Amino acid sequence: MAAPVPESYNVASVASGVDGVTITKPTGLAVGDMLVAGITTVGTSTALETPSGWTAVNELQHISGNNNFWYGTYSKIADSGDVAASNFTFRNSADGAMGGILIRISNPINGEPSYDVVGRDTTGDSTPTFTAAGTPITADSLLIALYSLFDAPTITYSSYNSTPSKTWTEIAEYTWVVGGYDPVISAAWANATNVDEITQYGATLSNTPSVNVVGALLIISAPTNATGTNTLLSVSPAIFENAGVEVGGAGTSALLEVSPSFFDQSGRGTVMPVWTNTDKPATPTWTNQDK
Amino acid sequence: MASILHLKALEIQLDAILALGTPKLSFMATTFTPNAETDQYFSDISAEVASGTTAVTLASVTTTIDAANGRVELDTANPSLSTITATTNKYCLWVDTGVAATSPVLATIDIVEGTLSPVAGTLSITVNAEGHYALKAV
Repeated sequence: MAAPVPESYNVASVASGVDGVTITKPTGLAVGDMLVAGITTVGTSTALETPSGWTAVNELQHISGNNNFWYGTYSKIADSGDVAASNFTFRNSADGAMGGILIRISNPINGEPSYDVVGRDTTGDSTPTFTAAGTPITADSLLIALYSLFDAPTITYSSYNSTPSKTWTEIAEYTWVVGGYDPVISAAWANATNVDEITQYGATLSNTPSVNVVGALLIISAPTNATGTNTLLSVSPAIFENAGVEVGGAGTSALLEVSPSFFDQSGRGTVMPVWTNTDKPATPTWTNQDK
Repeated sequence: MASILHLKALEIQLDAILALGTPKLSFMATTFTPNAETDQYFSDISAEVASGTTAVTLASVTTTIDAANGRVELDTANPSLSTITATTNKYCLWVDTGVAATSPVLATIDIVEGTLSPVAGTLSITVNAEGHYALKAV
C-alpha cells in the first residue's frame, strides 16, 4: 500500500474578538484521509478546545515572560460528513487571536498518529530543537513537524532538521497580525525511510524569536501488508483391512495403519454339483415283427 | 493385486462436504492449538479466530485428482483481507452452513513464514501451487 503523504492544506486566522477560527477544507479530501490541524491561540485564559469528533494529539500551554499562548495538534480520519463539509472550526475557551493550519494526508492508518511529542525550546536562539523518542513502525512512515513562535518582527523558518537526518519539505508557513507579538506557524514533512528512532527534531529560523518556540512531531505509520504461504498438507485417511471369511468359518479383523475404512473381502466358496450322466438304456435289439 | 482406494471416491467425498455450505477461511490467533479430534465444527474454534479478522469466503474452490501422486487436492484462489491489523500464524478451512454448530472444520494449516502482523494493511496467503491439503490414497 502506498505511504501516507500530505496532499493539500489550508490556513486561516483571526486577530481577536471571535470565538474560534474556521479553516477551509483542504482540496481533494476523501473518506479515510487523515486531517491534521496545528492550532495556536494567544491569551492567558484561552485554552484550546478539542472539536467534536477530533482527537487531541497534544496541547501545550506556553508561558514566556508576559506572553502566553496555547499550541495544539488535532487529528481525525475523514468520514462522509467531513467530505461534505466546506470548512472546520477550532475554538478556544474565550475570544482571542487564533490561527492554524489544516493538512490533508492520504493513506493513513486509522487510529494514528502512532507517536507524538510536543515541546518548547527555551534556549532563545535561532535553532530551536526538541527531544523526541519516536520510532516509526514502518519505513515509509510520515513525519510531520509543526512549529509555532511569536515575535514582533517577521521571522521565517529557513530549514528543518532531525536526528537522524531526513529530507524535510515545508508544507506551509503562515503568520498574521495580532498586535505586539505576532504568531508564525509552520509545518514540514519527511518520509522516515527507515525505522530508526527519531531522537530530535527542530528548525532553523531567520532570526532569534522574542518568545520561545513550540514544536510538535507526529509519526504517521504506513500500512503494513503481510503475505504468507502454506505447505501442502498431504495426509492419508485411516484404512482398515479385514481378513477374509472362509466358508463355514469365522474371520478376524486387523487394524492397519493406512487410509479410510477399507474392506478387503474374500469370495465365498460354493461347491458346484457334479453332474453324473444317467446310464443310458441298453441299445434295443430291433426284431422285425411278423407281417 | 494390492488393495487400493479409488481417487474418484475420495474426490466425491470431499466435494460432498464442501457442498454442505460456503467454504471459508479464518485466520487463527497464535494461541490457538488445534485439536484434530474435538475441533469438529466452527463453533469449536470461533473463539480462537485472530482478533481484527473476519472469515474469508474462498473463491475458485476446486478438488483435483493428482494421479501421479495418488491424491485428491483441495485448492482455492489466494485469500486476503484488506485494511487489517491482526496477528496470526495459521488458518482454518471450514464450510459455513449458516450455523456455526453445524459448520464442519476441514483443516488447520500453518503459515510457513510464521507469525504475520499486518498493520492496517492487507493480509493474504499465497496458496501452494498444489493447494491447501490433499487426501492420499496410498
